[in-house]
Amino acid sequence: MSHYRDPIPLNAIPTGGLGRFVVDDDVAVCVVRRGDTLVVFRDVCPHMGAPISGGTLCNDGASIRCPWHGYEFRCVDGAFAKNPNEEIFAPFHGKYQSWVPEAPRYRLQKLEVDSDGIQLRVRRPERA
Amino acid sequence: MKYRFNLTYGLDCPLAIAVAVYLDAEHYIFLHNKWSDRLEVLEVGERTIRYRQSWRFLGLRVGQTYTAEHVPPAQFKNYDIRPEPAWMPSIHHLCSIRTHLTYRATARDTTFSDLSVEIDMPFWLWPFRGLMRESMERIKREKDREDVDMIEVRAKRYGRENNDCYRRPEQFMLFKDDYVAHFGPGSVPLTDAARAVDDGDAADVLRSTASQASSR
Repeated sequence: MSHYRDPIPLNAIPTGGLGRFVVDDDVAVCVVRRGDTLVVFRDVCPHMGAPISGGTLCNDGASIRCPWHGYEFRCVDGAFAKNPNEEIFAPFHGKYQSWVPEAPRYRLQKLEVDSDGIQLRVRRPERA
Repeated sequence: MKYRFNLTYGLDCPLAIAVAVYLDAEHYIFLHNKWSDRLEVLEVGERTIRYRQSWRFLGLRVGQTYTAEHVPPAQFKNYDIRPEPAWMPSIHHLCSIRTHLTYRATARDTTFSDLSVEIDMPFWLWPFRGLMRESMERIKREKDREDVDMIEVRAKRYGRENNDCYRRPEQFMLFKDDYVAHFGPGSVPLTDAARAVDDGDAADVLRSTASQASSR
């Protein structure tokens, strides 16, 4: 098991929001603190590549909303939860042959972490 | 009295990306939530869409309805703007504003953006035309800069020309069939109206926030 180069000081992680940390060359992560639990994701929205740390917590902190398109992902595992645009653009259903409305299968990349009580070390994902 | 002006600059992305971002309506109230946080589609026509767009102001929800028209491959018109609620004091009670945005590809594979604005106003508002122009130009530039920031991040991650994510079947986009026909695989050739203009026309390039900061 190996970790990314730079640890994250625990006292630098914001409470009740999203924190962005660069843990290696070109590797940024988004840290979510939910009570005593810390969840870490790659700082990339799987939809179009937005830095998810620029988004907001919604649904009482249960989801992260992407800053670009508003897609929501569950904090617990990064799974896609909701596209708020579905309702807005419902009048377009059946208008375009090239658009097949269906729930996307996106998921934020959750990263495992180890903590020594002072800092957080983010594990590199194992290659499939 | 009719007052006309144009706002032109370059966008550092291929035409296919600039058009995709314009038609990608899912980002309108999220990336641009500083301006408006609610969008409703009132009517969908063959080439037109009627919207209600609103925002919070002094505790009230205010906004406007307007018609957006797309002339493929790369022209966009907005007109028939009416304030909502109708009793709300608004410049749109006094003026009729029409905009016509044309995107054209440049020889350097960037996009030339030409926004043409026509304001039909009463004579007594004529002295304020400069203020109105300034305000419209500022909003247009700021919104486009937000788009350019997004385009730059995407280009670094997926490649400058890559419009795959917009063409995915599950991805919604306004006038998507037209977009795919013009900017998808085996697309039809661009019309003269959208084809390369002289590089000189696009000399003033709207730069992203990141590139502005790095040059300071």
